[in-house]
Amino acid sequence: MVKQIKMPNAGQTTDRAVITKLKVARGDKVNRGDILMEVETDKAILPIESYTSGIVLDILVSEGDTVSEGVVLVVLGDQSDLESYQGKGQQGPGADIEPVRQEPAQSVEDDEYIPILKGPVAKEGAEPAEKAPVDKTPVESKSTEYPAMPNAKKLAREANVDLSLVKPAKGTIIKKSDVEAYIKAHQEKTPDAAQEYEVLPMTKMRAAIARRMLESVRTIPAFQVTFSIDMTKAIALRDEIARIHNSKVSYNDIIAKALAVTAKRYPLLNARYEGDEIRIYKHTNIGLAVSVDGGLVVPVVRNVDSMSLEEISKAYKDKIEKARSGMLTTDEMGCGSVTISNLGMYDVDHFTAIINPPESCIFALGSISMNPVYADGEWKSVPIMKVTASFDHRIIDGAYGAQITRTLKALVENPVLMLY
Amino acid sequence: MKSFDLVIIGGGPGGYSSAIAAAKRGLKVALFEKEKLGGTCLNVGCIPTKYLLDKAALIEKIRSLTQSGIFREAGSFSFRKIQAEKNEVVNKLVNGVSFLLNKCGVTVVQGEAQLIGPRRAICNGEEYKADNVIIATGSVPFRIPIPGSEFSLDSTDVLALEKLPAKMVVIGGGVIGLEMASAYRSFGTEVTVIELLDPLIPAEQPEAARLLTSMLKKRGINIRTGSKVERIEKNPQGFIVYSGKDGKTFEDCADVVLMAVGRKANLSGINVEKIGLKLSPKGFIEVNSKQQTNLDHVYAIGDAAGGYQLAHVAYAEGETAVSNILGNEREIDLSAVPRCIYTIPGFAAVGITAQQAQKNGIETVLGSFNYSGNGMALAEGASGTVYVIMEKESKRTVGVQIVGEGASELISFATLAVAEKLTLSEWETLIVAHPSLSEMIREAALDSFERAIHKI
Repeated sequence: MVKQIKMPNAGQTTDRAVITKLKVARGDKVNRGDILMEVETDKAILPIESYTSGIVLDILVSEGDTVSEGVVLVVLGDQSDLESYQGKGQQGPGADIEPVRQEPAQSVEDDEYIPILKGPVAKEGAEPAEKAPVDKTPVESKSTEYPAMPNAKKLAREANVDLSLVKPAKGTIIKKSDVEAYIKAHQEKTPDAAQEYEVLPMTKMRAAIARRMLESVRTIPAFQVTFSIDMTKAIALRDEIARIHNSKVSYNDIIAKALAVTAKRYPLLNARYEGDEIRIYKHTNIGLAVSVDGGLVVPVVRNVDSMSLEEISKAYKDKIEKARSGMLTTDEMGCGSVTISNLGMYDVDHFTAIINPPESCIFALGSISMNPVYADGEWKSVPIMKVTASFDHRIIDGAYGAQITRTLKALVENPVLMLY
Repeated sequence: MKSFDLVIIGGGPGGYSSAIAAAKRGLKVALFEKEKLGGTCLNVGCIPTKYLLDKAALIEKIRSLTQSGIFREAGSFSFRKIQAEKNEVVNKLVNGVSFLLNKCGVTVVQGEAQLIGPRRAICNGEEYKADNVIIATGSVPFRIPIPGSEFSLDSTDVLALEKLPAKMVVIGGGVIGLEMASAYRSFGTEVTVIELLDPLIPAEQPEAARLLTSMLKKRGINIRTGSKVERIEKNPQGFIVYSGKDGKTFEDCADVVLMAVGRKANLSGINVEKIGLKLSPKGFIEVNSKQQTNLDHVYAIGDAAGGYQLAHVAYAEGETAVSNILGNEREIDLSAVPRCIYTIPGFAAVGITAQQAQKNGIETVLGSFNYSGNGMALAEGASGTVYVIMEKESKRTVGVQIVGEGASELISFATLAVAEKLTLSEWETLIVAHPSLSEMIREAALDSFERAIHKI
């Protein structure tokens, strides 16, 4: 009897896992409890055990595949199944002989059956009810619809392919490759125009963004603090530098400088959560989110704490240029403890950013707008920038975070204090 | 706007039966159902529970035959298959109801109706006007607000379990709790029932209630009465239910915690305040004996109207409401309502208990007959006892209680006897087939006046 080993439930947080290692090959004999393969979830590596003994007839997945609960991974059977299974494969789709159809529901797991009487009367390892006569009933071949793998079903749905027209190469289960072969063979007949949407190719950058952002929201208990900075003096500073040195510094540069100064008093700004420990780095490495075609990158300027504002400005200009031309190297990214993300140029009031793991925080800068402020008995028009900081609560607690934002605000509002 | 003679909200047993009855008498009827026709009873209540209990009873039978050596092996069963087949039976019944309604010309509207006036409803953006309205919205499970109550499942969830739990705690020893406990116990789950009141089913004849409790305990169900559940905690292995009794705290571990402490009226879409509908203090729709609410031409039946939460009572109330709508005045008579608990073994009762009779100043005598004195019961390996309560002076039958196999079938015969107030002399001349379990009811009735044949 042919039996299927299905992907078990991998845990409460996920139903997807990646096949990392196949431990058996086609034709191998396995015993109950043998490990057939290893799968990796976001949390752990799980061994997939065989619930029964037999010969590996087919392996329906390969290393690197992503599978979800219930997907058939391996097909097992005995010697006679091996012959008939291979025979079917050779006959191919046009075979006249009706295949022995394997209803998924009938190839039940041994341990699905619960002994009625537990104790001395029930024998260990007793054979489950013999259901062979039912199983071996041939099915009318004309109307045969083969069971299909979920990814095959998905592809068929997307490509508008009628699954009942697809013949599995092995004569048992329709795989993704069978559907692909069918599509290739019928390319002219199924014009692409019939599709209602197009699938964006998953570039490396998009995949990395998707993976890292999801990792962040799944694993980082983040909290946000929003505060307003009076930018009057920061603007004056910027204008002053432009007038005296004839060079332009950006608000990002000023914030980066202020962050580095803040980090001297609050060293957790330099911390990263790595391998279940909090590592506090000696220097302040600050990333800047730079949008590029098809995504974004976060180049990092290292040792901001030992640089002058002019040097900081120059370093970021250099990184941005490299980022836009795709010249960034890997050691120029992913080594920060804090990131600056600025959407001010798009007239954004304020927003929250997602922490770039394993960093401790990210600062989201909004645009500078004129706001009425009541001070010294009169209303004044003041340029305000709203900043929202997101902190990893595993590293930084609320009060500590608020002290950081208070200090940062004070420094940007009175840049001269950075000298102090 | 669409106009109907009668609009019924809710397609459960009360709603659909009223719809058919009214349509057959020539009314133009619209029936609104937001989920599935058949309501709680068909989809997530009586019927699926009975499917599970039937298989559970068979498993018990196999167990006993194997233990006595008649079967060499007990074999094994698939819980998953039982669940799958159960769903098919439910679907078949739901389709059957749908077929009946269509054949009778009832307009079935799939969607939640909103009453915007006493006799105006909106559903799926369309407005409906009716001369008469029957509210048959049923009930929904009720949860007691204890810490961790969110970890508990209701009966609907427990009916749909995919895997057999190893340990289950049932909060509430009422009909639903006991039936679930019984089914899962027979499938092999370790079950503990925690009930606030003491004893179990206190409204029934104490002798019968005690016997049922002891028989369920004998089947391996842990029953703790007079015990208050304090909180539910989650741990990596499952859940822990903390309960207190006589100052002591009990901790029960479970994979599944069933909260079956009662059901409250489902008033979703009724807009009680807006239309001015009067509710009882317990939150059910208040009705008179004609099933009329405080609003003209608006009736309420079934669980939503309180009282017995039984499908067959909803049927009776629905027929009463339809009769009154048609101008044939009729009052509901609930003096002989059979009450069944489909445990293993089963329990069924009709009429009043000796204690209730005494409160009303009626003197009664209690006759009983044990299953062990009945040929059919011995042949089937059934055990239990039948109790008959008769008025001492008039020698009329006023109540019957049965604990044992076949109780829910036997009770129909007993219901007729109670409804007709059968007298001792009528019982004496009545001929009951032999061998049959039904003989025991006659014997128990005769025993009230010490005239039973097969009892000393």
